[in-house]
Amino acid sequence: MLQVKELTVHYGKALAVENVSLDVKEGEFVAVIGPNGAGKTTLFKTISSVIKPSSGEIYFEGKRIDTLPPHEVAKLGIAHCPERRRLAYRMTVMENLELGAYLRDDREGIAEDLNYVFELFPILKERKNQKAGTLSGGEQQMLAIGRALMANPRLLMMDEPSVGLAPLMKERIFEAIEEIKMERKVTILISEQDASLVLPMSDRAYVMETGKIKMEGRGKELMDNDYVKVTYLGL
Amino acid sequence: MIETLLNLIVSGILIGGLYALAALGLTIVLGVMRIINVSHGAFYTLGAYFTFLFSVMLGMNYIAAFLLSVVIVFAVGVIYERALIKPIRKEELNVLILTFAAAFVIEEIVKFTFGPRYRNIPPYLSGTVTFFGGSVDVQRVFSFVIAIAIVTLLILALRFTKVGKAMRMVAEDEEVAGLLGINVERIQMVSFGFGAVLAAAAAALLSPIYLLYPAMGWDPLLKAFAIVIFGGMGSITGTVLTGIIFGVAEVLTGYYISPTWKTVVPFILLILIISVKPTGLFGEEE
Ligand SMILES: Nc1ncnc2c1ncn2[C@@H]1O[C@H](COP(=O)(O)OP(=O)(O)O)[C@@H](O)[C@H]1O
Ligand SMILES: [Mg+2]
Repeated sequence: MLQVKELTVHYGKALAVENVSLDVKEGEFVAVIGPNGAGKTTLFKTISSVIKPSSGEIYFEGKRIDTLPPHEVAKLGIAHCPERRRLAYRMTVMENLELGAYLRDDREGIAEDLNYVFELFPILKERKNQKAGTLSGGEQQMLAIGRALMANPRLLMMDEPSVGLAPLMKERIFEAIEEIKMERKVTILISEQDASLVLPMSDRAYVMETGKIKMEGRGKELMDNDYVKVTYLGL
Repeated sequence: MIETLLNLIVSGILIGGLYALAALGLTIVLGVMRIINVSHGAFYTLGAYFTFLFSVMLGMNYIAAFLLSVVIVFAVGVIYERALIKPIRKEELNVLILTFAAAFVIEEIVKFTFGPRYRNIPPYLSGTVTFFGGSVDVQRVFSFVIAIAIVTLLILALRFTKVGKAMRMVAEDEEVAGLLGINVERIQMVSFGFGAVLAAAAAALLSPIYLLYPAMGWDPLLKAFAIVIFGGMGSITGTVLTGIIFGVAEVLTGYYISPTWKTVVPFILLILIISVKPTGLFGEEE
């Protein structure tokens, strides 16, 4: 479904992603793990076409997307839940969710997905008329995920959904992600620093360090890998 | 005494509504595009002269002249944005200088086309209404009512329509707006057009009250800047209230102190407020 081929990305002269190849098949749950500064966010932003690569190509369902503007990429069915939420903080919870469905006009479908989001995160329903900026960090992360779900995407990309949250809230978010994985017919690409949260539920994962893919494998395999154990699982 | 005061406040509010309208255009462009548009006053000038062209020179009815002017200025704004702003929008200083230069070019075009002398559009409504024992021109009341109607419509559109919500999203986070499927460049182009329209509408509504001349846009531009900063950059409510506060302050100063101080008062108020609250009246602290 998604193919990233030999991607290299710079910020000015600084190299952020170097010769990264990655693919995601329909229905898969794929994780990218790696420490802060590894290039995960840059990789995700390049897939969404917010950043243009210096070289390499990105294909979605066979169509080249790195040359498209971001809104055209979104139109193809890719939703990107950005790192650190990035909500419309001065708008209400409901308005943020409506903006998630910006490209849709199937009223019934939108209403169904709204129900689904409210079932997944009941607190959002309670707070639907509140400004997003007044929510707690965890609630904001729920809203960011809910907003991405409202697009009813084919590929859902979540960039470090647990970053900056308290341990309990991290778990709560990952329970929700597991639920999305089970219940929705959506392909998922997720990045995460906390490998112990994401590897158990990943079909496959990539380990990214200093801009490069260091390793890849099935989630379970990587959990048994000595390097991953020592470096990422603290075992 | 008290009647005079109330009467002055009424005239201040009437003129302030039009200041608010003009300043709102600047607020929207600032919010959605993060640029300071020094050409805003030139769009004001164009609005006045197009109304003059259609109503006085071509003898059209005033409402038709107003609507036609507004539509033309919208088109001018959109073309201006595509041709001049879009290629350099990220370079803030260049945008500042370019919009400054373009304002002079537009002024010269107006001077060349209509001549340098003062023009006026005769009031199309006559008579006065009485408020608190004082009288106010029907013309001014009408212009104010239309201005407030436009402001209200705009606020409702921003709140409830899809384009309005997209504009607010772009104002908050351009990059994420793109991720959500919003065509950011198109929203910005349209916002710029609307911004120009608000300046033009204010000018068209003021044209039966004030005189027209090619450099007429600079004064409202400065006033609009002062209003936008006083109200808190990007705050619609702040802009509207400040417009009215400035209108009233001007009229009161003109009457009780001296007409020469009248034009300076908004700027004195501005300096006072930003020394107390640097983000302006309704500005959010970062
Ligand atoms: N906007 C930017 N400008 C310049 N360098 C950046 C920018 N964003 C990230 N970087 C650099 O690119 C590298 C990768 O960062 P990032 O993609 O954010 O990694 P991660 O998401 O894995 O933490 C880091 O060295 C970071 O400092
Ligand atoms: Mg990151």
